[in-house]
Amino acid sequence: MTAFRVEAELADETLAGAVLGRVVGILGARVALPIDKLSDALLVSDAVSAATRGAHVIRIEAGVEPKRLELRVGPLEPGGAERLIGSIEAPLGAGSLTRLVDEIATAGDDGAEYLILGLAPS
Amino acid sequence: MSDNGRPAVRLRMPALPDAVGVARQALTGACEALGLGARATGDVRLAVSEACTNVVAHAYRDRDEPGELEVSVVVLPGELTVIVRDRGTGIAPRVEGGGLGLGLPLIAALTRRAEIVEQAGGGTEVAMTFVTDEAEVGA
Repeated sequence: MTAFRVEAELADETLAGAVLGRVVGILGARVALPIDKLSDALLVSDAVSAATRGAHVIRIEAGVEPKRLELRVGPLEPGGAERLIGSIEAPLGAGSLTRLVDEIATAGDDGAEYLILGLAPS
Repeated sequence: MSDNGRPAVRLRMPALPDAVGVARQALTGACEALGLGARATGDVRLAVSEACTNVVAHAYRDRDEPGELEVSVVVLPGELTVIVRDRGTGIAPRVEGGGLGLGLPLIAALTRRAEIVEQAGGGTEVAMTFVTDEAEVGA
């Protein structure tokens, strides 16, 4: 299976959740996420959309590596990844993100930060 | 709603067959969020699928690796415009075949207006505008 990356700029909060959810859903199916993991991925997708609401443009990459779905959220200001994790977890409960995804990481590039959330089928 | 015509949504991905499904799903979500009826949503899905399939099949046929497929969504009062763009050789069907040539007439029939623009730096832009007013759509 080859990697397939989608970069989504979601500037309209009315459309962001619905569009991101559909993209995550089809890419999750492509890496054969089981139904419980797919449900987790959609929950995370909704939470990311809600947490990034109000931003003018947020770039979200849903990349499919072999047997892995990755959401890369950014570019964020320095410290933005930690704040975004807090915003995502606010409606779900502290520590909830770590139970929903297999990987939480941050990456820096040209002074910007990115939050990386990874899910694998098993 | 798009500010000053700026896309409300922009997707960039490699022009591989999977891109057609991703674009179709993304637009289905957008139509759902905008409250479009089944008929209008079906028109958008079909036209976007045709435009993206043309890019996947034809735009980068002279290259070993596929180039980029970009789908932008602009929302204005009463209208939804979807722009499908490539940076390859355009979407003209191959002379030797590869389709029935129904894609572009179909797009024209499904949209309020459709424009195809060859870009100066290479590539093609297909802008498809749909009516989102339920009364006009007759959904």
